Amino acid sequence: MTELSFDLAARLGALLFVSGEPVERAELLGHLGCDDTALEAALAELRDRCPGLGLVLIEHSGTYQLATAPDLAELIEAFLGLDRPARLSAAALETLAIVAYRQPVTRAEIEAIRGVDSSAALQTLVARGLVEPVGRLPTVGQPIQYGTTPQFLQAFGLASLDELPELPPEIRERLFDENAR
Amino acid sequence: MPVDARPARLADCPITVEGFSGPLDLLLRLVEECRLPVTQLSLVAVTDQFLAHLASLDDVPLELVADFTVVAARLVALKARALLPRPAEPEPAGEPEPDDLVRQLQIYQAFRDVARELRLREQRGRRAYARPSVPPLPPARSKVVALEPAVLLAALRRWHRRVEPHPATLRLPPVISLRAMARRLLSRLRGGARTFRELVGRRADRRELAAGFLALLLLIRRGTVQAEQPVPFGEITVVPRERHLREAAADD
Repeated sequence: MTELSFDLAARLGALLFVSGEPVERAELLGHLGCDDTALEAALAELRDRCPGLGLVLIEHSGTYQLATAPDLAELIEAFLGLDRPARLSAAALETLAIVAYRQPVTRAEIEAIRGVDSSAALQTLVARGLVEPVGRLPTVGQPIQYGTTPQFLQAFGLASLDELPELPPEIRERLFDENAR
Repeated sequence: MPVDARPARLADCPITVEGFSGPLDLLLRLVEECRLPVTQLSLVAVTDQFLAHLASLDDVPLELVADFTVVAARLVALKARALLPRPAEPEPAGEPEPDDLVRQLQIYQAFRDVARELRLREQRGRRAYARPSVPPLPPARSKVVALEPAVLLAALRRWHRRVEPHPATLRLPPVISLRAMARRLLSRLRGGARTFRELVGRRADRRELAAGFLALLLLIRRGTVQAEQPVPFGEITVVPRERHLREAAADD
């Protein structure tokens, strides 16, 4: 058997398995020696094969990662002897929801939506590894912009941000309006 | 749409709001208690309840009060506008109140719905676990170059010179022990009461002053001397207590 007797999806799966960490798309393209279209097909194929292995393919802002299927959480937690993490506060969950949809987003933008100081909630989320600084807004003061982490998807059993419920269309419109302003 | 369309129904609402996280949250809960969509509800009617709640708050962080005040001010503005006579032109039916606060509430409500969904997911506990990352492999073997022992020795010396700490000399003025200072004070007290200044010496520096003061406290505690200072920061007068002074002198 040679490397090429495994199809692209299998080789992709092997790379993601051994990495554990999320892998950048560009890195996958380089190591697999394929183009975007082929990678896209391989990702779709791997995604289909995952349930058979008790796994899920997680996609987060151009990175890919293999993790255990969310429905197997109890089995895994018993096996690894893990405790359930403490519940997040309502404030933290609201802040997390805003970051998930509006990323990259500054603290001021979050507070404009929540109408209340959100620094403590944001700190909690950063400490829990659910949210991280992803850049700075090129305006006065260069405020930090925040985005969700792959850990966020894992913690809530999401394969990608697309699995979050859609915002009502009129809300999406308004948010877009306010962005344009 | 008249702004005060449903005051009666609102007044019937039992308002029980606890543990809210911010003015918009409170406002939205007031609205939701009445089971009306945000767009149909007259915020004017909630204003009194909101203001009452604001008034009942005490011991709340200043920033939070400021946030509440902003929302309260907007509500009051809304109410004032509703009380003023309106221009006669008919308004298009079914239009939502063109107010920023209503917009903001709707946006906030949408995100709160998402937060609720996240809470459900959190409760179901369906977490995905990734593999802990593999420990990095040992680095590739570095090339070994053959070198003369003399070259290695020179390199070792150079390295040694770099890391060796340079000795530094620190000159400290002689330290007067508390004991010595106490003795000095006692010997000067043989002639009777003295001021603290006279006891430590007119030319005493800070260190001597500090040691002298500590020694004085020590002597006071032992009951060897008594001290008086009529005014704060004023002169301290130290009076020996004869019997003790003799004993102390005998000790020496």
